[in-house]
Amino acid sequence: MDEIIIKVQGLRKTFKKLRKKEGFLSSFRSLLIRDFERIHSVKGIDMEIRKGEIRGIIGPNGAGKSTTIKMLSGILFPTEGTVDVMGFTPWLDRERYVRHLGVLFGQKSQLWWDLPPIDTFLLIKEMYRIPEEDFKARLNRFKSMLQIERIIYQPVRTLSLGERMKCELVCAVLHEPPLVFLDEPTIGLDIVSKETIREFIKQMSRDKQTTFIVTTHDLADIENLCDRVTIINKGTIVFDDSMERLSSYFSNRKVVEIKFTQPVEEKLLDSYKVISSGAMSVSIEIDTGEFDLKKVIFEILDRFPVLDVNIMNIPIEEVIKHIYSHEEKVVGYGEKVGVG
Amino acid sequence: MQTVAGLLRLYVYHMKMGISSAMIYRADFITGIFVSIFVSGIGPFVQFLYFTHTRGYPEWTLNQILLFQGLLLLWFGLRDLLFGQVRNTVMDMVWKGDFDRLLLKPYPTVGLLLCSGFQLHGIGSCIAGVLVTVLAFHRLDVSINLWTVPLLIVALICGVVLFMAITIFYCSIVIMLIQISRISELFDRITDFANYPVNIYPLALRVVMIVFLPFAVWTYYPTQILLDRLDYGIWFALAGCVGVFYLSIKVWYLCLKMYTSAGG
Repeated sequence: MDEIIIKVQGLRKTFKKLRKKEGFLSSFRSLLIRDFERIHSVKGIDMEIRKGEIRGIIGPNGAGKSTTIKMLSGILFPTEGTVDVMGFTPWLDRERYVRHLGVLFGQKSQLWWDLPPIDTFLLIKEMYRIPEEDFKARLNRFKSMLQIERIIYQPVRTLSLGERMKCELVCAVLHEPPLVFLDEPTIGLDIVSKETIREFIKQMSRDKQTTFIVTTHDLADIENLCDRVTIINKGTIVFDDSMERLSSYFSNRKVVEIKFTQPVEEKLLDSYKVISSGAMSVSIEIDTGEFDLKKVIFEILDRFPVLDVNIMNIPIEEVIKHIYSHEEKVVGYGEKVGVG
Repeated sequence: MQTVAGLLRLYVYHMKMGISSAMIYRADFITGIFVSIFVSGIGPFVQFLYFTHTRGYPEWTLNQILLFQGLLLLWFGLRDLLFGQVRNTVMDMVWKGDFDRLLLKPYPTVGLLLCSGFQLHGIGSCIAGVLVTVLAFHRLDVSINLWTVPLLIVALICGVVLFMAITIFYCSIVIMLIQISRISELFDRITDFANYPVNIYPLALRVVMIVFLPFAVWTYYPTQILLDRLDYGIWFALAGCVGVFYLSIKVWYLCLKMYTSAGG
């Protein structure tokens, strides 16, 4: 997994967007005079992705994730910068490049609404000139992996969202591309469908060394799938490292979950930083730079009727929320550089 | 060449899927065809009324105009069958951002757009056109020469190429301006000039319709070929079709660079 298949340098994209004030008069005015503003959606992104990697790209809405993915897939021309994906420049070699690319847009469908998914699969077979034998073998494999044997012969409009998404996934990987972009692949799905789709992605990555780039707002996708995660905020990368690094981002802060054998008065816990509490339990945060964790735990065991203690890292949601709200750039392996 | 062959295969595949999809709703499918035949039949009837109640068109008899009308209907049907869906598809796709999907397929996007153009409703005009043409043949006693069929085929291919070019211009405008609903009507009004014999127009307009926007290749020249009164203008018209198509492709690629997609 050492071969770099995506190399991005200084990628920028600026859009000219219409700016319109509120109200009817303003609409009338905009017929004659238009105000435009330049929006810098992507402000210089550098990134490397290795073959066989499952890379998560996350960020708040409007951060520039989709624009980056669109430039990486050849849909948009960048304003500036270079991209090398498997030796191709996506927007210049688009037709040849996309033969090696699979894309799933969780909120857009490529299935024919009135026909069964099998008809769309056959169209894809024709489009990518997949040999008959390969097509049959792959389809059989995907059918059993995703449990869609029955539904591929039913009209798409009669399928549930989860069933449709599984078929969309088949559309994206039927030609076995070495690189697949998944844009919110589990959006709106139930927990079982999500798990099936995640397992499918992991197996494809294991068996075929397929590289997946996943953009999502569901942190469970990131936690369950990704080797590395890139966080984009306001058009720049603010974190680019392994999942382990993200999990231990606040290495000097721990969360201690304590269960009591009997109710404990709230005021007795005043000396701790309580995150949440119940009648028989409490979660407290401990800054290990300031306090000795061992001492604090012993103190708690000594003072309260403790049934169970669980020491954890700060939840990943909190880490990500912190990174989104603080424009602090983390470069490479944990080195922090203030940018804002 | 491989790309063109691939696109043709895709077109046929899309066409089959389009028909299968339309046949799911049987009532809509059957009434659609009947309404289409009925509406298409109104055109020749109006022309008949016009011709019999006025002095008609210079150099054209009633039966010759019947042949012109038959071929015109046939062309309308063919045009709608082949690419009738493209305008709706492109407008909808660009507006919603679904056009991205075409850019992720290993073919020229404009080719894929044209491939998705099959519209079954055109079948009604085709049937009406065949009926009126057969009637005109019967009344005119048209003789077919050795060169008639090859010339008709060349005219047909160039006519399709010209219509593709006009459709590509339309798609280019949509890519650039995103929402421009009434542009469709503008295109229709301009191409409506082809609904009448070219020789009824003033000279300047005639030159435009033969050389620069050679609409004459759709119905006028095929009728002239069958009536055995062809002129050299056809060669300008055929060359014009190729020229306009080349220009449309250039404009398309220029506009494609300006595509901004929709928000993610």
